[in-house]
Amino acid sequence: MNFWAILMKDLRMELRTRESLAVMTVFALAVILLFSFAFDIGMNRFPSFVPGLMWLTYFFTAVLGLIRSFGWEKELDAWDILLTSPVDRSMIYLGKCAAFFIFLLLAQLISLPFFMLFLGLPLLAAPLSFIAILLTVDGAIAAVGVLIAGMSHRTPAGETLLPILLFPTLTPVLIAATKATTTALASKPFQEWDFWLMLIVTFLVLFVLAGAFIFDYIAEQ
Amino acid sequence: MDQLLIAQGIGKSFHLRPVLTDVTFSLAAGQITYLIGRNGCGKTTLLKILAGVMRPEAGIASLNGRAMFGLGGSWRREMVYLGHRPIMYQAFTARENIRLAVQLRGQTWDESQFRELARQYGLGGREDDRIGIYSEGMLKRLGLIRLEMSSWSLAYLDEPGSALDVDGSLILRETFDRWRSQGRSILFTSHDMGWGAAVADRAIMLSGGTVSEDLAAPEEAHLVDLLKEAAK
Amino acid sequence: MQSYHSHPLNRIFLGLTILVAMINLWLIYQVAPLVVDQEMAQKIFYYHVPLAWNAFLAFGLVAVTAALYLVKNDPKWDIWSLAGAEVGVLFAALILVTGPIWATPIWGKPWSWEPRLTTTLVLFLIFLGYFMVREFGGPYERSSRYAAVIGLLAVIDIPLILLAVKWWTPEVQSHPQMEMGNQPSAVLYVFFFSLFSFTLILIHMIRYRWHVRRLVHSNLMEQEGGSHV
Repeated sequence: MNFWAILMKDLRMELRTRESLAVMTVFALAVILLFSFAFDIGMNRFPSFVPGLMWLTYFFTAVLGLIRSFGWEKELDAWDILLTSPVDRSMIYLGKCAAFFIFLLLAQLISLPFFMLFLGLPLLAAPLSFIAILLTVDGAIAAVGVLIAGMSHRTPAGETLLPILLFPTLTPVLIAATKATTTALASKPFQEWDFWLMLIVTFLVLFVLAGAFIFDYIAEQ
Repeated sequence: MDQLLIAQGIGKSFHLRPVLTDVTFSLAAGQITYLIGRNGCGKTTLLKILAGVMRPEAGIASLNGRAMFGLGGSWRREMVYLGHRPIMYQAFTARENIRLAVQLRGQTWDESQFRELARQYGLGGREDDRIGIYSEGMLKRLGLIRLEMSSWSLAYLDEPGSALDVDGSLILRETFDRWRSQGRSILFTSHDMGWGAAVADRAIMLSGGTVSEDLAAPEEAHLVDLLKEAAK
Repeated sequence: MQSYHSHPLNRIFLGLTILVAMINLWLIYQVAPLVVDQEMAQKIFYYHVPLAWNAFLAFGLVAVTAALYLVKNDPKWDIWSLAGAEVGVLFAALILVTGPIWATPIWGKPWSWEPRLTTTLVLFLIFLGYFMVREFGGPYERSSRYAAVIGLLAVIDIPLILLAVKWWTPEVQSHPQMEMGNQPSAVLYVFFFSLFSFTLILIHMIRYRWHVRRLVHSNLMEQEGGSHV
C-alpha cells in the first residue's frame, strides 16, 4: 500500500515533469553517437566491446536518473513528508527503487535500437536472453543506486560522490552483465552464461535486502 | 493529565559540537506549548528529532505510549510536522500534495473537506495550481490545510506564523484554539513573542542544550526578560 | 591528554612487536630455504600473504563495528571502524605494491588480473570513496553513519567481486603462488611466524589509530567556539 503510494508518486512526478526520462534518454543517445565516431565502427560488424560500451553508457545514464530522482525530494524539503508519515523506511526505499527501475528501463527501450543501428549490437539474435539480463541488471543498478543516492544527495559534495561510490560497488555487475550479454548474443547455449545471470541475481537479492534494512539508518538527517 | 509525549535525555551534535545535550520534558494532551530560545539553541533541531526527520545521538522518547525513533513507523501516525519549508513537491498541485500526504498516513481522501478547507484558508480556486508558483504565505496556508486533513494528536510547527498576513495569523490562532478544544497538543516555535505568549498554555525554553525554563501561562514581558537573560 | 606510548603496556607491546619483526626478518632471509624456481622473488610472499591477512582482518573489523555503530549509535564503534578502515586501506595499498613486485619476475608482467589482487584494487577504490564520504559527507555525525553503510556494502560486495573477476579471467590461475603443502617445513614455520609478526603489527597500528582518533573526537567535543563547524 505504502509502497504503491511512493511508486505512484515518482511515476506521477515523471509524467508531470518528464525530467529524468528526457535527461537519461538524450544522454544515452548522445553517448551512442559519440561512441560510434570514437570507435569508427562500420555498419555490419559487432565488435566484442560493444556490450561493455552499452552497459557503461547505462551506468552513467543511471547516475543522471538517480540525481533527478532525489532532486525532487530536495526541493521544498519534500523528503520530510515521506519521513514524517507512518511509512516504513524500507517501503520508501523499495518504492523509489521500483520507480527508478522503470525509468531506466524506459530510457533503454528508447535508446537500445540505436545501439543496434549505429553500433551493430545484435539484440535480435537472442531477445529473450537479453531481456532477462536487462531486467536483472537494471534491478541491481536500482538497488545499489537508490541506496547510495539516498546518502549522496544529502552531502555538501552532492552528486559528485554518487558515481565515485556507485561504480566500484557495481564492478561485479558490470563484469557479469558484459560477459552474459556478449555470450548470449553470440547465440551460445544458456549453460555458458547461466552463472553470470546467477551472479547478477545474487547481487540483486543481497543488495535489495541490505538496502531495505539499511535505509532506515540513512533516510534521516 | 495524561502525558502524550515523554522525551528523555535527547542529545544531538553537529560536527561534534553539542546542540542538544539532555532535553527532558513531557507534553500533556490538549496543551499548546511554546518553544522558545535564542537563535541556534536547537529549537528546529528538537522539532525535527521529535518528528522523525533527524536522528538523535542520545535519548529516548515515547508518543502515546509507543517508543519513538526505533524501527517501524507506526508511532508517526500520532503526529504531524510543519517545518520552515512546506515539505511538499514543487511540481505537484496543491490537491496532489495534500492527497499524497493523506494517503501516506493511510487515511482516505475527502474531496469535499479539501474544497471547504481551501475556501476557508483563502486558497479557493487555486487547488489545481502547481505549488511552485505559490507565495510563501500560500504555502504556509496549504501546510495548515495538510494538518487539518490529517488525523493526529500532536503537531510540531516551526514558525507557523511567518509569512502569514494579518488575516492568516487570525485564522492560525482560531485553528490553534479549535485543536486544543479537540484535545490535541501543539509544540510550536515563533519569533513573535506576543502572539506566541497569547496563544500558548505553557512555554519551555531551550538553553545550553537543555530545557532551562518551564512556565505555565507565559507572558510576553517575562519571556523577553528570560531571553535577554540568556543572551548575557 | 595522554600519548599512546606513555602507557607502559603499550610501550612493552611496541617493543615486543619490533623484536618479533626483527626475528621475522632474520628468519625470512637467513633461515627459510629458497623455494625451487622462484629463488629470492618468493621471499616477498612472507610479506604479501600476511599483508593480505591483515587487510582482511582490518576490513572485517570495519564491517562488524560499522554494524554495531548503526545499531547502537555509540561513537566508540565508529572510532573503531575508522581506525580499521585507515589501517585496512594502508595494507590494501601494500598488497597492491607487493603483488606486482612478485609477479614481474615470475609471470613476466606486473599486472595480470589475478582475482584476489583485482578484488583488492576494487576494494581499495571503494574505501577511497569511504574516506571521501567521511571528509565531504556533511556533519560528522551523519557522515559517520554514511561511512558505516559504505563499509558494510563494501564487505558484502567482496565475495561477489572475487567471484566475478575469477570467472572473468579463467585463464589466470587462482592459486599460482605456490603449493604450501609441498614446501619444506622450514618454509611453513617461517611463513606462520611472519603471519604472527604481522598480526602483532596490525593490532598495534589499529590500537594506535584508535587512540589518536578518540583523542581527536574528545578534543573536538570539549572545544569551545566551534572552529571545526
